[in-house]
Amino acid sequence: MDETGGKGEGGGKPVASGFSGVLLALLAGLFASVTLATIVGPVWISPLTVWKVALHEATGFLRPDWSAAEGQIVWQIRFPRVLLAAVVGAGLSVVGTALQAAVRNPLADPFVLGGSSGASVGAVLVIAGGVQFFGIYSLSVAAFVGASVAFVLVLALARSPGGHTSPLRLILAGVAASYALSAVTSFLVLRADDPEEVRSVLFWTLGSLGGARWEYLTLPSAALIGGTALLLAQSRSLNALLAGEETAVTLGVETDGFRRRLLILCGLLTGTMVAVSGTIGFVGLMVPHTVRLVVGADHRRVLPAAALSGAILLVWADVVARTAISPEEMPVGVVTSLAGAPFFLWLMRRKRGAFGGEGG
Amino acid sequence: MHKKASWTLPMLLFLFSLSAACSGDGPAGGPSGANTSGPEEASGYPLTITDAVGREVTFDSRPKRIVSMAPSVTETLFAVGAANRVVGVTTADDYPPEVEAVERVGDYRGPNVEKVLSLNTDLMILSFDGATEGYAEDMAEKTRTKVVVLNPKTVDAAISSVGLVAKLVGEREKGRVVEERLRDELGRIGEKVAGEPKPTVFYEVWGDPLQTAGPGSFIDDAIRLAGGTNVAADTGDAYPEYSKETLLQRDPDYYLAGRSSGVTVEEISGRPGYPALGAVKDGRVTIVNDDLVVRPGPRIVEGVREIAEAIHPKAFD
Repeated sequence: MDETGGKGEGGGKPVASGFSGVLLALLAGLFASVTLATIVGPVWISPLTVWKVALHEATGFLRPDWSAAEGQIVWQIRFPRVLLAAVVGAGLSVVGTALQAAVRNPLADPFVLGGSSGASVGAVLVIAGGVQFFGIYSLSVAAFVGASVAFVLVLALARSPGGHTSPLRLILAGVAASYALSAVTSFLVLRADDPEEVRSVLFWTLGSLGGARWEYLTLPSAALIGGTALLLAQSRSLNALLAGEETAVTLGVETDGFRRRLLILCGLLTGTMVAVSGTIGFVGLMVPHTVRLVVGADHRRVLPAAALSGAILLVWADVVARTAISPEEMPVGVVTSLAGAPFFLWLMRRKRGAFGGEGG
Repeated sequence: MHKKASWTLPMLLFLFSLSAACSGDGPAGGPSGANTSGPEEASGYPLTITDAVGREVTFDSRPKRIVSMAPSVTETLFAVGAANRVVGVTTADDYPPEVEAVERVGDYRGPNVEKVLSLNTDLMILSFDGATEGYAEDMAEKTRTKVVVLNPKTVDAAISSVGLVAKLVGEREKGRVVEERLRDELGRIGEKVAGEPKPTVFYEVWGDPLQTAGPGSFIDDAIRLAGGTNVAADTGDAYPEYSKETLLQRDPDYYLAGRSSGVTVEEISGRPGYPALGAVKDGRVTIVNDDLVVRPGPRIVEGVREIAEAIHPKAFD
């Protein structure tokens, strides 16, 4: 607590001016990443053509002097995919940041409260169980419903008889629910008659942005913008929550109700992201920590910085996923964990900052 | 995922056992091959065979109670007239329709030992990737049943394994007839497509994430035998996740999809980027019965034929 507060960002002071430099650098980095990521792919298309296609599709200018396949690859496959990577990466990081404060646990990530195992149950029902209520959107809808149901379940279970919801109870309920839901997934997978279905389930649970379409961007983007704005507005309460229960109460935060609203928001955001990308690990856990090591613990800084860093990380992870073993694809979750974990450990050994919830 | 190296050795042993088996299988009952010993009497027993994982198994008499742990093997047993001796099959078995009446004793991962024991069996045939030598030995001991492992990896090996299964259960002659019919049929398909240009083919196993069939899969082999070129032939895996960009760039002449994933031609045609595919524009997207091509049983040539008809419509008018 002392250490977090000691960094000078705990209270209501204005965000220091040095931070706007960091934010600008991250914004520029994200723009550069998206630009570069759209010209990289298993199929080589010259950067000029990529941007001519984009200009043509966006504004109607230019007469196509590229092949139909190139046009489709750039505009229907790459752009939605790169943008979806940015949105999902940002979303998972923002949720991770908020959840680490909400449950005051450095191990919290978007999936700590059963979100991923709930979404997996939904996905398995569609892939191996043949449940197809919403046509091509069946998988997304099932994943969203699964994640949301798991969240609600955990919130209800974590409530003590007195109506109090402590971080510890939340974590324990989340872990218990995750085990139960994972067991359901395993059971359904074992009941599958076909090894191909089992493989599809595995690919889905490791995360993939390969299914990206323009339609998939609208809802996650709206959720990301709305959710981040709401959380930013609550930065002071988040700071207080991260500092500790007593501090928060002293600062006038009604912790129980605030935590509950926070969790519902996080649950909705997680479900939205999982619906379009499967369960991509590591991003939501490590990006908030990494960002805190650099910009301190104030959520007015951490939230925007985490959103931008998460976006950049996932855009590049997906570039690796779709090019490293081309023409095959790797599950993006494998890339995020494989590349991200060593980087994080290196950063952790170099820096001696406080982690979310540490020492609080 | 399944790597080539892990089955190269068993595969070689399997082929070796087959060639050896064939050499002792002449119409005049010639000298027995290196791996087939025992007097060549009318019954063919005692019979010793070497299975796909290099185990020698000896049968003193014709097996009477058989457990089949793969739909392809079950189909073969029914095709060679051993149906009434099949006492246990897997949950995935659905062909021929009469198999409905047979007890389920396991799934593609393996048998339930207690169930097999209760059926008092004398032959269990395994045919899946996880069936190693150790697994087979262990299973033989636990179920007190002779265990034989098959693991054909090509259409040709699948046809040969039909003959081997027939021989195991003492239906050598029927097996020979089935094998001959399959080879004739495959030969006719080959003749029909021989003069045709080889169209490029993409085979979809699953839509999201996109999965295809690469080298080492029956589908890959079936496409080749059907006179086509698999555009995913350069992947390193039997069932890899595949890049949509590469698919659009390679623009296959034909787009095939397995029907067990539940996709429709309309759904495929409406995917992002797919309108640029020649196969979509010209109506060359076909849903095929994937049970035929993924099961190395007596219907595998029907699967090859289905693909050949889809990608060489003129040759099959």
